[in-house]
Amino acid sequence: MTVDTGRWPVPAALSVVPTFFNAPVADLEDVGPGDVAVVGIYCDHYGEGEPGARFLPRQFRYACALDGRSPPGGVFDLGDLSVFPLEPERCLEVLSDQARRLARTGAHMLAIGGDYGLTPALLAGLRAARPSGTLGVLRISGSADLAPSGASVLSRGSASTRIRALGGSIRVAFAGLSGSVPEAEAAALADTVFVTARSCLDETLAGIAPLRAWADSCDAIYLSVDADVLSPACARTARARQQGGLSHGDVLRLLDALGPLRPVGAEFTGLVPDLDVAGRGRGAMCLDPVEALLSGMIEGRDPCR
Amino acid sequence: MPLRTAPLPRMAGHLTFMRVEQAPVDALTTGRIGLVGIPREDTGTRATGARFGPNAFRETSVYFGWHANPQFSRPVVIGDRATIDTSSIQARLFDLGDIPTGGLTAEAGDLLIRSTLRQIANTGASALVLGGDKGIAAPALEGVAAETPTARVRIGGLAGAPGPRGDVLHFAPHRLASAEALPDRGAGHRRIVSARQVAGLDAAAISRMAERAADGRPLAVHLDISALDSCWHGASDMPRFDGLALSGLRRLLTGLGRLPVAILVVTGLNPTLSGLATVKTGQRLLVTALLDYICARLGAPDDRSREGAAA
Repeated sequence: MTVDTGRWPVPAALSVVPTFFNAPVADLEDVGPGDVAVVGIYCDHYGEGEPGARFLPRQFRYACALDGRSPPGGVFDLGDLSVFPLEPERCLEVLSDQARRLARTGAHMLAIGGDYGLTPALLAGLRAARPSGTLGVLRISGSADLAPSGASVLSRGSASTRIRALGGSIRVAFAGLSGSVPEAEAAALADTVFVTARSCLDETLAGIAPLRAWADSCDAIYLSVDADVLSPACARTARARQQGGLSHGDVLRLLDALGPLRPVGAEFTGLVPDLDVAGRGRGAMCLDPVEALLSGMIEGRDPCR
Repeated sequence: MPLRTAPLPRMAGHLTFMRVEQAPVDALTTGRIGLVGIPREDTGTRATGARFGPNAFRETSVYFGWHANPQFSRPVVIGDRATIDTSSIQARLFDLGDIPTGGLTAEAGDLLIRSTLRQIANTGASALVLGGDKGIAAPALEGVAAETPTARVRIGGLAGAPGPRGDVLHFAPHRLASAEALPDRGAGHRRIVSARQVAGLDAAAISRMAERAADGRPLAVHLDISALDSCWHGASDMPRFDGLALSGLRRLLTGLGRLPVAILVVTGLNPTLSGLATVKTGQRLLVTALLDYICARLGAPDDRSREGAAA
């Protein structure tokens, strides 16, 4: 698009450097209640498996620039959160602080990239800003990550355990779990609402009824989607997986079937993108599922249901 | 209070060139450099991918972010451990973004490039344009020339006959190891300097040569990556064996940067070429040459010390 300045045509705006969903760049003072603040997390240093998920924010921005899609109003790119990859405790502290200050603006955070092992820090910040009510954490992943937190307080494998340990009426549920659950986690899973990947592949999706009931019992939802719920053909992830899993379409269908969750926060973790400067690789393949998260947050401008 | 109260890792966040501030054209004034990307290429070429050049430059340049962004610690000269003062670059180099030529016809794209560069030239600032293939150079140079008469200097590209574009200097043309091999082409108003001859010149000599050729006009420089030697083969669609070494390119850009330069256009980088690590390393080295140019253009105090390193 050009504008006539009377002397020579100039573009109405030079395109900025790539941003999430081609959204405008903003900071804390620019966002308010109901807005969606999309942030990147450049940190995968504490998760097990193949590193590389820290590059997803960059590759995702490239993919958005190529795709040319326009964001709905109220969506902003707040850049990447500060992290300290070499100082674990400090990293969690600073992530928690940023999540808390962001939540206090009333905006909903959509975090892209990084590792599920950092999610407890984000939720601690979110909970500190919004202490009342029951916060439901819906984890859509191939694994429950309910290992005891004793071995490594920062590992991904114990992230769900650490989220539960945050207390304050936080309830975790799972969708898309693969058929095999480690024996050590089976007991922890016994009193938890969960739906397997097989149930998610059922055409009627009748098996997700417990999830709907669980969501209805929560005052607010935090939606966490990991790339490891996808079939290996659809995504390269930090953690090695067996064959099986959902396609992008299955994830979209699941989110749609769960109804208006109105999440107060969401994240997409665990995807190891191709590092092409064009952003045409696996970063681009996950545009639709992540946009589905965004759409759900836009619909849910009221943070509490 | 901003969201981030701590530094970012080097590759995180919005990747502007060397982490400089994004700004509109209106923010430019005399003595500043406005960087603009033109992600356009002729898809009829053998290997496509030059349209990703601007992003590749930006991505690579964040390794030099400490020159332009105070969030990073100051650089240090490894030899004598002296801190390099980069304050003269900060707030004088701006990333304006990309010219949105996508989906436009060649004519409409050319018009947009010409008008945007003319607008930048109108502010009195120096333009640094990151292409894109060599097809973006003509409209970019014409846009600046429409605002102020310039003396054109070309680095790389084919050694064709002097044309109406009127290059006053042509460094390291393709398929020309020495100027003596093609004496007729150097006749008239243009002087041809081969890559071999550049190897024997220091930055001061290059400045004097360009100053004489420019005859009082500001320079308009077009650097095509095809000027570089074969060790950079992964960066360009036109690999060659008689090109410039990195040290020669650095001296060249330093020498030219010390003169008034209205525009520097860099074309021909194809970051999608398969060159294994050579591509990324080459891009990073190329940014060191651009950094020499920026330091020289802005009169940064480390200009002279960097020249020594280049030699």
